[in-house]
Amino acid sequence: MYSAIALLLAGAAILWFARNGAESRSEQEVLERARTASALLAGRLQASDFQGPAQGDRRAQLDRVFAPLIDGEVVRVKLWGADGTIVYSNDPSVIGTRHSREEIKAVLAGATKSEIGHLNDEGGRGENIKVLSAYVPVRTDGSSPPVGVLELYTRFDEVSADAQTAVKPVAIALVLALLLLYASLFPILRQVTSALETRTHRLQQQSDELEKTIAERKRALAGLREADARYRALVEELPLVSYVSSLDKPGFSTFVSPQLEDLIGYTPLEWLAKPGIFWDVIHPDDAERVRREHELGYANADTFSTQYRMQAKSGRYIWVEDQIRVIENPQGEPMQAQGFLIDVTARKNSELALKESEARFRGLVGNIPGVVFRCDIDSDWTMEFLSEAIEDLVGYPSTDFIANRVRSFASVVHPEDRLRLETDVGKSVTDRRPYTTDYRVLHRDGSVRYVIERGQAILAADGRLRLDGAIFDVTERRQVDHERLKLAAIVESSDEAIMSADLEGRLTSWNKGAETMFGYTAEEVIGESIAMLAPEGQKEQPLDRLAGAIETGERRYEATRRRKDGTLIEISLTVSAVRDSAGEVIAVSAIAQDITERRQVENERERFTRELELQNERLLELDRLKDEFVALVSHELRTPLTSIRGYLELVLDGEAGNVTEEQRRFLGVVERNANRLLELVGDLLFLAQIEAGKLSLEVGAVDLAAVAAESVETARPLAEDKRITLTLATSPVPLLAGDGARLAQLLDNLVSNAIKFTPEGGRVDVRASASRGNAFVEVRDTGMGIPAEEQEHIFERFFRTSRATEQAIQGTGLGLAISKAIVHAHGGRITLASSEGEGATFRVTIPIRAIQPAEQTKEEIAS
Amino acid sequence: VSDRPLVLVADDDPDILNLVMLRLERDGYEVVGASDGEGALQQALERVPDLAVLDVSMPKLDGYEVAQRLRAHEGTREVPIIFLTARAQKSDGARGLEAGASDYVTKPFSTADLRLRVQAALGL
Repeated sequence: MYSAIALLLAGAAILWFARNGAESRSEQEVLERARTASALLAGRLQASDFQGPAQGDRRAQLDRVFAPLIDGEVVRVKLWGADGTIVYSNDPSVIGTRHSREEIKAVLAGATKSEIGHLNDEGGRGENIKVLSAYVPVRTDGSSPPVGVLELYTRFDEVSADAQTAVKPVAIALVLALLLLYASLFPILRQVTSALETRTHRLQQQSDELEKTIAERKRALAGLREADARYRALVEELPLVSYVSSLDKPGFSTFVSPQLEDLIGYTPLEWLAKPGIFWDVIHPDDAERVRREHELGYANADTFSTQYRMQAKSGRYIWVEDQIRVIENPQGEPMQAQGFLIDVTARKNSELALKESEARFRGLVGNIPGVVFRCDIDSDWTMEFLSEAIEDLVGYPSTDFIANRVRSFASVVHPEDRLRLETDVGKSVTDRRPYTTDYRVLHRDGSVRYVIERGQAILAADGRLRLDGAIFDVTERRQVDHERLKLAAIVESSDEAIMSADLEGRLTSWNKGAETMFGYTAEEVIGESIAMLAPEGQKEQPLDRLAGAIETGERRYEATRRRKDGTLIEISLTVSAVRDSAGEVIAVSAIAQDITERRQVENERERFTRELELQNERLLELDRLKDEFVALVSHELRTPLTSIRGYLELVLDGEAGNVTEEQRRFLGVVERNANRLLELVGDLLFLAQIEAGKLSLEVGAVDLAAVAAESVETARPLAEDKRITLTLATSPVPLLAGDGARLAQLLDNLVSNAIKFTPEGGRVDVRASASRGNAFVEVRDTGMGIPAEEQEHIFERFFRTSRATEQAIQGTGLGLAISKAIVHAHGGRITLASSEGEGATFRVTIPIRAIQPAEQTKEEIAS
Repeated sequence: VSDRPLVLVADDDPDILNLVMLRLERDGYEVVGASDGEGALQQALERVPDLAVLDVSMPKLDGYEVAQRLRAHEGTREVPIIFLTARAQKSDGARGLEAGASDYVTKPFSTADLRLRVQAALGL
């Protein structure tokens, strides 16, 4: 029964819906049209249009605006102001009328409204047809709130008629069919319905329960999801990579968080796609250690951490800290490893940098050629830090001074300098400026060292004022400075020119001596090239010499140089390379002496020597000519003298008839003078030979004692003429190698000289002897003797003693010269012992040389 | 042809030549003279002398050369020669001896000395 009523109701509902559905659809269309119109008009309407009824021109404009809209279906438009006044309509009669504000306000607030009515419900003219009107808000600008409302009237008949005619018969047929169907199926339906109802009821109960359960589950799941999301969000926002790894395979991840990409450039997908990639990217130096640590950690189910390097995709190595926890299942069995990787590269790098900077600091401090310190500003200079170099300086280790453990630093400062050091430092602290001071320190070995200290007071981290500084040993530098000053003084005071130049030949020093020598002051030449000192045309020579000195280390030479006033001077230069401690030539020094005068003297001497040599040559030539002349003359004299003597002999022998006594006397004078002449010629010839170096000995075995005896016998008649006692004393003399004739000539000379210069009644003693390889012959006379001043000339040719000349004793002055030559030719010597008025003794010494077989042979032939 | 020994004397100085020839003639020798080496050689070859007294320094052929030529000829090979030399050096005399001289006399010589040497050379 209910269902029949329900069915009838449903039929009525369908009918109503069908009709209403049509109306509804029309209203929608009108509203849509109104909205479109409103949107189209928005740009052409003004806010002022809604303030009050449109008048005059504006109304005409609006007519033109709205005209296209009135197309037969749309029959009227109205613009409503916010206060409910109709400000415009295509029917002018309604403009200015006012209606309920509430409706307009609602539309202005955003609601849309449509209604079915008649055209002239709110006044107006024309046929009062049924219309469908729609209200839409109007905006003059897209974003501004609506300023008014547009109402659009369309004919209702047309829009609703189609729908009604189509729907009505179908709806009626449908209702009838339903009634028929219901009537036939009612009994079955009723059973089924009741069964269904029961079932439905049960199902409803189950469904309610299920729904309850599902709701609970959903809530729980949502909670879980939220927690998970929160967790993931947290995990993914943490600046670390979390991962899960299986226990049996360390490094083989089963999960890894997305930050991995930030860390090493691999996405989790890439990472998980390559099992074991971990061992590819870990630094080879770290791999083994990390593997051991992981295995140990897993085995002990520990929580542990380790650090190692991983190579990012970019190739860069990144230091990570890996914190690992072994997760156990509820049964307490190790299940998996969960870890976090944190980028600690920066920390590591700063650790390394710190280490490096510490090492560098230590290295620097160690290498500083001085002592570095930090100390308190007190009378002990209590050391907080003192570098080890202090030991070189004072002989005590730096640890002695730290906190005055063994001694204070003040104790090694020279007592005379302690107060000044305190004053200097105190002043610096007050002025807050760095200080430099010098003082002496006492070395353990008793020596005194000179130091320079530089420092500054600084506010240490603990808020106390400390002194930071460095101490430098300048003892050697002081000594070097002193040496340098001394040397500089020596150089400056030297008369010699001392200068130096760099490797390019630019003068770098110039002493007073150089100023005097060259006429330039130091200011004029320093920085100039040494070429300026050379005369024109030799400008490149000094630089060549300089290069030579650089190459060889030292050069001495003489050169011509030009003074400032243009005069040329001769100098002797010693150029030396100056080397640095590494042996590199860095400069050149030169010492110059003015040798102009010496040069002149040398030149003079040279010229003189040349002249002498020339003269000498000329003299030698003259001498040679003289010798030749003498030889020629002597030879040419001999032949005529031979004739003279030969024919005299013939006459005196009576070959030309008897000779009277007087004739014989006269011819005797001729013969004697001819003999003198011959003697002179012979002597001259002999001397000429000697001087020409042509004297050769006819060497044979000579018995000098016998030769002496012969000479004595030859001279005896002469001695007897002058009643002179002539004696001979000989001891055996061994045969010696010599020229018998020459030796006889020698002794004849000596004996005849002795007789010649001995007055009547005097005596001449001749002795021959031999001793220790020498043969001696001595001829002593009791003559007038030879004055001491004449003795040294006695063996010179043509020399005659003053006494010989005075007393007109005959002689050529050649005898002793010849004698000496003969003695020398035999390797012996002849000496004279005499004093005036006491006679003279000539002593001949000849070495006894055995005769050589060849010489013997010649001698034999000759004899 | 006499039985007196024939002495050839050669000297370019006519005074010396005459002196020697005169002396030797007075001493009883047969003497022929020449004033140069060529002449001396010619004379010697025409008539072989018993002795030649030759001055060393002569024009054309000097004494040594004359001596060598004489020594080169069969007929004159055995003729004794005495050189007259004005050279001071005794080595000149030695050279003469080497050239085949029997003796030499140094100018200035005494005629007495020469006489003795001539006698010796002729083996008288």
